[in-house]
Amino acid sequence: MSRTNTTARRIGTVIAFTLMLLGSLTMVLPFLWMLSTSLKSSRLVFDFPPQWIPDPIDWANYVEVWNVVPLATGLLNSAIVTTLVVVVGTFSSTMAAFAFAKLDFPQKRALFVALLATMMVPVVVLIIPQFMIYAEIGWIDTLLPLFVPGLLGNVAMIFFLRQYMLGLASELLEAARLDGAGFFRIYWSIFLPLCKPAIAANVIIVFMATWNDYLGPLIFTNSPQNATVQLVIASFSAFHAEQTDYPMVMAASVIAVLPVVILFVVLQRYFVDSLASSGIKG
Amino acid sequence: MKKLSAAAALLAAAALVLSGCSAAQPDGDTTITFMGWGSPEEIDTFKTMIAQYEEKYPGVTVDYITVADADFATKLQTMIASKKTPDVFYLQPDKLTQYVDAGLLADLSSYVDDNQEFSVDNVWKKALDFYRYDGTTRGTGAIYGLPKDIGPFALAYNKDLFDAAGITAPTDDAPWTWDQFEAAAKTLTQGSGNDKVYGSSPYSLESAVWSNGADWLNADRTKVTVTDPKFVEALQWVADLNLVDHVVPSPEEQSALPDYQRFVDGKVAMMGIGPWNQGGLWNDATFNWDIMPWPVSPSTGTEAIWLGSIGFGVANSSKDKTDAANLAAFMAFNKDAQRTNIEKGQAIPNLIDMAKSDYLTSDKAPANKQEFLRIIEDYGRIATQTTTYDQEWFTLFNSNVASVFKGEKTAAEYTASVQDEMQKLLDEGIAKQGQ
Amino acid sequence: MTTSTPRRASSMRRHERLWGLAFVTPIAVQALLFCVIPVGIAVYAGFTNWNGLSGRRDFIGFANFGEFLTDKYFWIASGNTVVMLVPIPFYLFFGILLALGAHRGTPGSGVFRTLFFLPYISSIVALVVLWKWIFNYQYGLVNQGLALVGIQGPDWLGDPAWIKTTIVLMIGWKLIGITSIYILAALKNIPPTYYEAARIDGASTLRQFFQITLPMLTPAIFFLTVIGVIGSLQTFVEVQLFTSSGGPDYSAATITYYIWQKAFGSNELGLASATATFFALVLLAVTLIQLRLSRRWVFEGE
Repeated sequence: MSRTNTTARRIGTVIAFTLMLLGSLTMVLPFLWMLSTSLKSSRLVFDFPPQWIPDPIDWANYVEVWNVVPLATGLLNSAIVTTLVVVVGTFSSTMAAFAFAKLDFPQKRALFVALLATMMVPVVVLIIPQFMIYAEIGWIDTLLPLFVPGLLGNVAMIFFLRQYMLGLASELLEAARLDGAGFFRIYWSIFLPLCKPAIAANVIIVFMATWNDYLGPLIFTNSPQNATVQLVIASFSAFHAEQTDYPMVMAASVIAVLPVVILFVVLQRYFVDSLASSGIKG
Repeated sequence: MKKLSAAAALLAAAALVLSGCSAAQPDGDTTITFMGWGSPEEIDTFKTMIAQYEEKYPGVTVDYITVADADFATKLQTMIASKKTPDVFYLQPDKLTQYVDAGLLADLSSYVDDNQEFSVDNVWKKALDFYRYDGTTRGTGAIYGLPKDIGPFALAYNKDLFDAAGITAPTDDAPWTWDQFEAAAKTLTQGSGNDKVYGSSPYSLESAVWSNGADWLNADRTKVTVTDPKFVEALQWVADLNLVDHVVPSPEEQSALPDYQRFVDGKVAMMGIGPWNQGGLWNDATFNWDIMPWPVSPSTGTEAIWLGSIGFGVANSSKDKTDAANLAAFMAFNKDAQRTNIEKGQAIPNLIDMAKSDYLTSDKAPANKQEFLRIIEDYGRIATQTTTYDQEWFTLFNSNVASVFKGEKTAAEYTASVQDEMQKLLDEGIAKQGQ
Repeated sequence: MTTSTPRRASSMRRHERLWGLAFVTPIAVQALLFCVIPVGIAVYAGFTNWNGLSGRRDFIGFANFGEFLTDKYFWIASGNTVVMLVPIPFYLFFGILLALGAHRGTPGSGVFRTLFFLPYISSIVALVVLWKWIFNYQYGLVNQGLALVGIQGPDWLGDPAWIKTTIVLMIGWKLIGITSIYILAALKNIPPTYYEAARIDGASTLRQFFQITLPMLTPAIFFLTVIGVIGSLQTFVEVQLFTSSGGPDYSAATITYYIWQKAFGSNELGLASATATFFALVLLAVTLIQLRLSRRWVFEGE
């Protein structure tokens, strides 16, 4: 019995490994190509068959990118906006999710559906009314429209965490109440820690959505000193892609992606740690 | 809880700093917002010009906003709808009728007649015609914009490939007919696969249609005329250069490698270019090149091609229209900037005297610079769709004209299939005009 | 409510209500300020002839609704929009597979997960350039790969028959990684005691999967489906960046693209707003139906 189980398990592992290897190849090949192209000189781009390792390797694109566009300013602005949204927004979202999942209050269901409804409206029609409001309160060409809404929470994150918390036993809440714990303490010291993996997953997503947002910065900011990294990259790509200067565009793209990859690798470790520390393994 | 309030304090501080930055405005000053797009070089040129302008007009500060060209229209539209139109902005002549009808653009006619920056006699007539509108017809009446540039579209050729094939380019008094062009293109087309050299990049449909005596619309721009046999003949001829003669890249090949790259790689011998391509070709082309007159339809002998332009518009809502108009004029006609355009191969001067002296005598390619000027002064036309209220009818025409170039439909079938709907869209546009 | 006196119970309930409301206040404020008010403006605009250029906003009743409902391009766009749902089962399936692999501790899982995540974390701006390059008819990675085995690949981005496929592929490819992250978080949430109990009962691995794992995953799958449907039906950026005016014969245009084109291409803000209002109501209906149906298959604890 146990022997067949182990064999089955091994075969399963091999199959899983192979599938994941194949899958990750299709995921990573385009990016290797992006990296490879960014290291080519322009005239090698259209070579056939393509060179995966360019000869010669041309680092010039990476140096030049910093000189032709305000990339550093863009990275800084994106970092400010994203950090604020992720840190503060996570608290707002988890609190709301806790309330929707475990507390009873008037109009709960209606409010939840109303929040879901806000996700249904195509962003493209909201832009002009939003611009009008921001113009009215003097927020145009500041970073405020890019992070203030995010500070108050994220509907998708609330939705997910609510689903997640519904799966957690309500007995925990009852028991803590009987011990005389307040609701904020129950949220803070019981449910928040239990939700760590789900929060980690959502932090990544909110980070990505904010970091990669393009339409908001495009419409709501004007000055170069308020540009986010995506604006910088886009204005730059628009011109260079027209000139078919793909190496330069790819170099800029690599630089834009890099901070996110690093963050993900770091967070993933935390994510895996929290998996391990909970003592649950497959 | 502590963490939360700390975060709130941080946020409040950040908000103060951030909003403080943008709200700062020197007292007693006029600030003009100016929005445009452009390559990094073009943006640098404008920054220099703006600095000169601010020196010349003390007390005026210019707030220069740049956007990627693909996103310019979206951003401008949002600002207009929210009544925050920039004082000066890049103006696409296609949009001019709508903008004037909505009362968005300041009438610059009296400014043009009497100003410190330029004399109207020294500006290309056609460059100003792009921005004239009398309430019903474009090209006449009041002026609502100043030209940032004027772009004659000329036919460039790779002189080395011509020499190798023993072909001499035509002179401007004796342009090729379509037949001569086709024969030359056949001789020039060589090789196969990825090394194939084509005689020409896809031919300008505008040139073919107009030269054949046809047009998309009738003269007063009220009827769609694409089913006119002369139109159909021209469209089919352009398509057959690929389908029958195989002397131009197929639509698929064209999407794979843009015309410009193909030309620079020596893989097409002829390609339409504008003055904006000159600088790029100086850097990228490793062969000799020049420009020549557009071939003419054998049935008419008429030369025809389009001219492009982008302008500067001044917002009617601007509080300082004179300052704004001065800025537009300064940027349009500043001699240093015009000279920079010549040096960088970006544009042909808007000032006639300068184009005919400094530009013509500069020693960079093309040798036949006169051809560019001849297109401006003589046979260049403002594109048909530029002069109508909107371009919906033209967008529809283009939506699948590729099916003709791919040989899925004949020119006759395609034009017949879109004619009625184009007419409907044109009528809708006309109904909106002047409302 | 088991022990305390009635008075204590009612004060507790009041407490709970107050805290509940306090907890949801930030998000409610956000929704009100940055969504409800702008939506109000947009809904009102839908009943006017506003063109976004002049200040004129005359009330014209339901005329805008009649206009788009009789516009054949709206219906073409509607058809295309439904096609954008195709990637959902695709990325759900592969996302679950990947999460299961990672959860059972397959060697290299961490690395694989990062790699699967690459498409999602890249900005769309960078991705589109890359994607266009990869699907380039002559020089693209895909067609060069196909050429090696003697197949002439299609014009992925220029051919009306292929362009939707390309966009569907891109969306599916992009979302596998993120899906697996959500599923993994949910897998982690399953108490190990369930499996121990099942093992003692002698349940096979397969039975454990269908009787424990899958039911416990349903909240996450439900969430991903709902969000996925909303996201898919609102597909826009890919269409805008990949095509000019919605692709040949409008073959790739979605409803959101249609709305965009009306608002920013042809200055018909009134019409665009009306279409958006209608579309949002349809989406809301679809989502409410999903919420209703969810009671039948989603495991909600207790």
